[in-house]
Amino acid sequence: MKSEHQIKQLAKQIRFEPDGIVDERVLACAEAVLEKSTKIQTSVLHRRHLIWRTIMRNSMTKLATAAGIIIAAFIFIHQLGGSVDGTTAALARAIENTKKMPWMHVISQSSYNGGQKRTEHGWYHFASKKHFSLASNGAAWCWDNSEAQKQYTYNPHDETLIISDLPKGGFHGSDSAFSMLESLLTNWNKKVATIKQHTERLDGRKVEVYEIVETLPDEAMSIGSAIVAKIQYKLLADTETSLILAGRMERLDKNNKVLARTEQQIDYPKIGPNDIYALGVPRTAEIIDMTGTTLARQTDDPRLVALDIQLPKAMFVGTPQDTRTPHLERPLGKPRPPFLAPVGTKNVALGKPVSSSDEEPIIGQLDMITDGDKEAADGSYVELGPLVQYVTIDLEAMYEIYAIVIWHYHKQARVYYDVVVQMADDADFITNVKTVFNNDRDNSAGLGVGKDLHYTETNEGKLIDVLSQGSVKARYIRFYSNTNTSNDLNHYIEVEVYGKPVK
Amino acid sequence: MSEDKHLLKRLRHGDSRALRQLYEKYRTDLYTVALTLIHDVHAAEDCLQDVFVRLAERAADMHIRRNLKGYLVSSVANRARDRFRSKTKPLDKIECFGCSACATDPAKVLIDREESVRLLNTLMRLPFAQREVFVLHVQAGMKFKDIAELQNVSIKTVLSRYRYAIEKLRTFLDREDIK
Repeated sequence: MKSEHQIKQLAKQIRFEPDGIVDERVLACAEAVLEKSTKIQTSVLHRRHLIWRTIMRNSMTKLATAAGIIIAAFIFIHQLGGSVDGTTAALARAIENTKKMPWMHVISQSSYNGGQKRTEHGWYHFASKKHFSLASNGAAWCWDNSEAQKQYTYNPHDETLIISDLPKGGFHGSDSAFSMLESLLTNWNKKVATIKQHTERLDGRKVEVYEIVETLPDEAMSIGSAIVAKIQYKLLADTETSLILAGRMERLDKNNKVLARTEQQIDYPKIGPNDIYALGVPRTAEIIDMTGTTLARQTDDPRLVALDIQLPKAMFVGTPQDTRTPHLERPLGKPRPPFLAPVGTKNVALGKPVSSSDEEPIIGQLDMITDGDKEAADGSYVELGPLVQYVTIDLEAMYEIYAIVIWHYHKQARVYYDVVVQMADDADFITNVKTVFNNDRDNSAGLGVGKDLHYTETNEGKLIDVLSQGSVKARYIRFYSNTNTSNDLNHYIEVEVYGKPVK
Repeated sequence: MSEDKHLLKRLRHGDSRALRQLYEKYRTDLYTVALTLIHDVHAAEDCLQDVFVRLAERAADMHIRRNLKGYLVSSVANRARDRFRSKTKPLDKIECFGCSACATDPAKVLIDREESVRLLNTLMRLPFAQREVFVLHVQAGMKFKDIAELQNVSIKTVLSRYRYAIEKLRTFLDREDIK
C-alpha cells in the first residue's frame, strides 16, 4: 500500500503546460483588458482628483463661512431667548439689528498654512434658512435648511449638480449651518469659550469688537496632519447701526501657530439668490440625485468617522427558501454605505453577558452572540426555541448607543419575523425603555405595532441607526424575534452594539 | 518589495510587460491546478484566461492580503469549481493525458510516469471538495487554513477531506496495482 508521502510525490510530478496558442490568446485578452481598464482608471483618478478638489473646496467653503455662521448662530440665540455667558447688551443689539436684514452677504478670504488666499461668496437668508456659496472657480453650493433639508453641490469641472440630504453632524456637530446654536451653546456653556468685548476703529468708523476663543477637545479638528487646538473668532459691529461688518476666524495649533485664517467682509443686500442657478450654475448641468442615502452621512466634521464593521464571509448554501414577506425591505443592490459615528465609538457588546427567554438553546451557547464570531458556519450560531424569543445583552454600564448590527442567520436568505429591539436602564426593562426597531406589523409579539420593514438576512447584518433617533443611553438591550421564513425557530450569530461610555 | 509586489505595482500602472512576466511565472502552476481539478482541457484554458483577464481588469483596485500566487490559485479553484458544477454530466474518468492518444491535445503534457497518470485518473473519482483540498494543498502548496477560507468551511473539515482523499487514493491505486 502506498504511503501518503508516495502519493504526494506522485501528485507533484503532475505538471501541465498550456500550449503557445493558449498563451497568446490569454495574453492578448488580458492585455486588451489591461489597456482598457488603465484608460478607465486614469479617467477615474482624474475624476477622483476633481471630486477631491470639490470636497476640499466644499470643506473650505463651509469653514470659510463659519464666521458668518457664527453670526447666524448669535442671531438664533437671541431669537430663542437664550443667552451666552459674556454676551453683552451691545452684542444683543447688533444681533437684533442684523437679523432684521433680509440677506447677509459675506465675502470670505481664506488661506491655509500661509498659502494662497481663496475667495468665496456666501449669502444667508435667515427667514428661509438658506445658505448659498459661490467659489471663484464657479463651484457653487446651496444648503437648504428649511423643511426640505437638501444640499446642492455644483461641480463646474464635469458640470454636475449633486442633490443630497443635508449632512448630519456638521460643523461643531450640528445638523446644519443654521442649527449650530445648540452645539455652540453647549460648548460655550461648558466654559470652553471666552468672549471679550472692546472698541476699535475700522476705516475711520468706531466698531465694537467681540472676540471669542473656543478651545477644542483633543483631535476634534485637524487641518492636514496638524491638530487644531483652538479657534478664535472676531466679530466687528458698527456702533451706530449695530450691524456686524466683518469677521475673522483663525484656527491655531497648541503652540498658537495659525493654521488657517479666514477674513470676512459682510454687507446686507436687499435681494439674494433664489436658487443655486442664480449663482451661475447652467441649467444644462447634469443632476445627480443622491437623496435618501442618509446612512452615508457625508460630513466635514472630523469628529464623526465611519464605523469599521467587519463583515463575515457571504454564504448562501442549500435550497433557497421562499422569503416573500409583506413590507420587505428592497435589497440595496450594493454594499451598505459606511455609518458615521463619533470618534471613539466601538462595539461595546463584545464579550458581554447574554441572557435569554430560552435559557437552554437548542444549538450553541448564548455567549456566542457576543463572541465576535460572525461567520455563518455551523458552530457560530445559537438556535432558540419556537415562537417569540428574546436575548438580552447586559453592557455592564451605561452607554450612549449609536448603532446596532444584528446577524440572525446569514447562511441562507431568510426573513425573521417580529424583530424588535429595545433598550432600557434596568434588566427588567421597566426604566427608560426605548424601542429603536420594530417590524412587528401586526403586534403578534405584543410589544406594539412597528413600522420598520422586514429585511432579508445577509452577511452585512441588519444595521439599526440609533444615532438618528437622538441620544439613547442604556445598559440593557433586548432583541426579540418570532420565527422566520425557513422554520419556526429563532437564531443569532452575533450582535454588535456600537457606542461610547456615558461620562 | 517582493518580485510579485513589484510586478503588481507595475501592472497597476498598465505595464503589459509586468502582466506577461506574471503570466510566465504562474501559467504552469495555475493551468495544472485547473486541469487537475476539472479534467477538461478547454475549461482549464478558460479558467486560466478568466483569471488573467480579471487580474488585468482589477489590478488597480486589487489588495492582495497574503501573496499573489495564493490569490491566483484561489481564483483558478473558484472558477474550476463553478465550471465543474455547471457540467450537466460530470466526467467520471478522464482521458489519459500521458498516452499517445493525447498527443494531438493542445495541452503539452509533462507527465512522464505511469503512476502519476493513474493518480491523475484516480483523482477524478474523488468528490470535488476532497479533490480540491488535495490538489490545492499538494500541488499548489496552499495551507489548510487558506483552503478552509476558500471553501468556507472549518479547518477541521478541510483536514477531514484531505484525510479521506488520501485514504481513497491509496485504496484506488492499490486496487489497480492488484489488477
